[in-house]
Amino acid sequence: MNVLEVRDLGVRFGEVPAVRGLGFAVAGGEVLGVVGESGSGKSAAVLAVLGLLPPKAVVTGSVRLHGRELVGAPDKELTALRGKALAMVFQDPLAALTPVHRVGAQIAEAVRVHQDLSRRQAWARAVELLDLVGIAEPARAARAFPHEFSGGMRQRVMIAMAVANDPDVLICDEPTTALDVTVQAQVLEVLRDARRETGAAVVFVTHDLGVVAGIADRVLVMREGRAVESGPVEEVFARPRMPYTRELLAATPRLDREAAVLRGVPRPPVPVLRVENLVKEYRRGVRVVDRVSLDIRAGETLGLVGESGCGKTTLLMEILGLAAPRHGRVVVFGRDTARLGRRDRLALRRDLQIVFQDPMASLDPRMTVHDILAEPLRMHRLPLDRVPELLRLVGLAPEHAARYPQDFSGGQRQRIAIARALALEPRLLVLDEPVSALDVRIRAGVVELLAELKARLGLAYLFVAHDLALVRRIADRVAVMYLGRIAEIGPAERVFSAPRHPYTRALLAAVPLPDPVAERARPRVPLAGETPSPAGPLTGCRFRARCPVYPGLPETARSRCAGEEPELEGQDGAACHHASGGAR
Amino acid sequence: MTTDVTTEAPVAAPAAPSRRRVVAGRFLASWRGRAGLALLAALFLLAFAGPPAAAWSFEDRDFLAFLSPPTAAHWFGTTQSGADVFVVTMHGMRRSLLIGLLVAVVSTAVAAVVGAFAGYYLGWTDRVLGWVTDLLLVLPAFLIIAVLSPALGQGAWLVMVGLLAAFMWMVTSKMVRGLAVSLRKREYVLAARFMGVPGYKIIFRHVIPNMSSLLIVDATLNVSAAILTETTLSYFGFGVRPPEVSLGGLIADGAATALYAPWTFWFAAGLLILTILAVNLAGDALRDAFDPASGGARR
Repeated sequence: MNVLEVRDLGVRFGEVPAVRGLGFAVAGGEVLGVVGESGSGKSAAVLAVLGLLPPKAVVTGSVRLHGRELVGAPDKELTALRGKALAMVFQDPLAALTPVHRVGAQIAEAVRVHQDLSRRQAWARAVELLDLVGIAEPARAARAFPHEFSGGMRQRVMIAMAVANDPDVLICDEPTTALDVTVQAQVLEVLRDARRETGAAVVFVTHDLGVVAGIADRVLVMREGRAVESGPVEEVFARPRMPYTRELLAATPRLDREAAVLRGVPRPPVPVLRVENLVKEYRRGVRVVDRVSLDIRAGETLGLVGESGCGKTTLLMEILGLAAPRHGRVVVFGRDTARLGRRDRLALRRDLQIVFQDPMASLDPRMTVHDILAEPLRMHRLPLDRVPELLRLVGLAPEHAARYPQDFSGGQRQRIAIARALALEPRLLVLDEPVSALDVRIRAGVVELLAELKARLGLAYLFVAHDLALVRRIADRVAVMYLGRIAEIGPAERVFSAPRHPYTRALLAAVPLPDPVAERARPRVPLAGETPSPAGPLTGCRFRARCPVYPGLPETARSRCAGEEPELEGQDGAACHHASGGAR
Repeated sequence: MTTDVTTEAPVAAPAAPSRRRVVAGRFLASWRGRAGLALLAALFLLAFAGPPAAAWSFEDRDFLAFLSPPTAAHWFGTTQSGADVFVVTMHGMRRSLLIGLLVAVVSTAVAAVVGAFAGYYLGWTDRVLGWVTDLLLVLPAFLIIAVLSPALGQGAWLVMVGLLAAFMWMVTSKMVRGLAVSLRKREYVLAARFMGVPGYKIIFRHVIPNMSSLLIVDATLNVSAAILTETTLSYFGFGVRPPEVSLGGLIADGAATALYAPWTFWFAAGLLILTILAVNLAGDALRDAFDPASGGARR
């Protein structure tokens, strides 16, 4: 029995069609994954189902909930349904919660809008719901304000609010996109529980094929407002019929299939960057980066991975600042940053450039592309006629120089950012999540470009990413960071096939595979909790609070974990007292 | 890298499509920009070329026509003392235009520079600049100008510009500082820093241009504010001192006879309104031209 039936749905904004002739149906307890790139109309489609589009949008076709027509229904009727029969979980949980009210009060409000309960009863229900979504000490958490919660906890609260009134249909719009992989795995688990508890039909909108493979029963692939392909998830993933679906699947890096590059080749001899025992303190005792050591050789790619808040970005800024660190050493191209004069520093900057995550934020919106690319050249007194060359190098036309960054798509903007970084012919390029803001097919193009540039120009990359599958595709060596320290470092091939640190193993286990059969067959061991604050007192192994190995250890081994901080030995190993050499 | 790239056909560098040219093009593409610029140009032309073209000079008194309505001889009529209103008004407008524009440009520039340096560098720079700003904020500007004004020599209107500007930039500079604090963490600012661009260049190239909408709106508002402040000062006898005149002084003088000899008042007042209108139109167009995201006529 289908709970939600959508037939021939169309959405137009003025003359521009966002959704055309879309049809699908979801039964109770079933999960429909809606996949598409940005601009494919997936969000417009679910907003149309909820009747939440702005008034200027024209919605045609039919949306039936239990056989009741929703398109064109009066707003009053829809309001009564929304939050009760139809519930929604949004992408950005911070924007969806009011910062000035307590979390419990907001859930209680959601309950009281649709149910005739007293304040006290509603509060009790809110606490119950927080418990349901796996928040520890729910009674205390209910009295907290949203800003006291981490992103993952806020998303749990959103789910609690969505299931508060036992909805028939639960619509999730990219609910895990803003979260780390380990937290994503937890939230997906909560969603599975929520579906089981409520028996709701779930429409799960996402761009991530791995997530769909794990959670959806059926999948609908959208492109340019139309459904390209739909069917049971196993079938679509195993035997995609449409070229577009095949292209999407091919562009998605797979952790289990990616072969690390340059197998068995000895490391090149020339170091371009050496970091020794680098420490960055924000306040006294709060070490965001703590005794980090790593090195990158000429032509090599080091992938740096870790959850948000682990100190990756701070480490990059310390390296790129080229200033003398408080503790430790940074040696760039054989020059110690502590002994650099102004001129040396400027000269070194030519060899060390950065590409940021968000190409919109990293290009000055007030400058033309020409000015953007000319800036580093002017600074270092190089001829400006290289601008057209640079544009061609990254696959853009020289005529594009007259335009502003906003005239380009995300992928093109990232190419401009790469061109700017290459303007000074650097030898080491720092890439801070260079493709995570891009769609999967565009992402593949940019990754290809980076690989090609590396081969052509002999660049070394420090590649920061949270997408482990992507790191596996591009990196020669990998460093895993946890709470300011390097937990494990080594050749990519070794780290991915035989991870030694329990944290690395947990991270790898949390990455969803874009293959429903393999994904469902994997044992699910979600890593509990989230990255704690580095401000807390840290003794012994900092991972032990979340460590899956620690609880099972004998007493003596545990006391070692608690009392003695494990150190990383050399450039291939794990900072764990009980590091295993065995396979996953 | 060079070897690889230069093997491709070398291309003659195309005309650098730089910001200045693009902004100018977009400014002139909007009707507001054209109207405002034309109006301002006309007002300036009138103010500077008008008096020589008239039959009367600034010092002349027509003893045959006191308080005469506009005639062929006296285009805007005459005042009670027989002075030609057209010539006097043009003289006044000359001063007012210069004072208004100069004060606006100087005060906004000071606000932008002080605020941006304080916000970009923070630390001691911020603290010292903050003290100066706060100090100037608590000083009673009007009283100080009133006290200093008699000490100024005749025709020292440039000092007046300096004084007016010195007391107009503080609030804007506080806003600018706040914006600069958020801009300094933007990735394009970081990218420039990591290229080795020094701080002061980043401020002038990335920080200040990215708040140009705010600054242009502020400058536009300041033009009228400066002219009006000067008007008030002149009304109390502290502004531009006779024999120099400004629109403000003329409006103050004309107000006495406005009821039975409207030409003594309305021409000065009307030109004041036109001036401010023209500045606002040009300001709006300039803001849109600077801001690639602010829609309207693009490219």
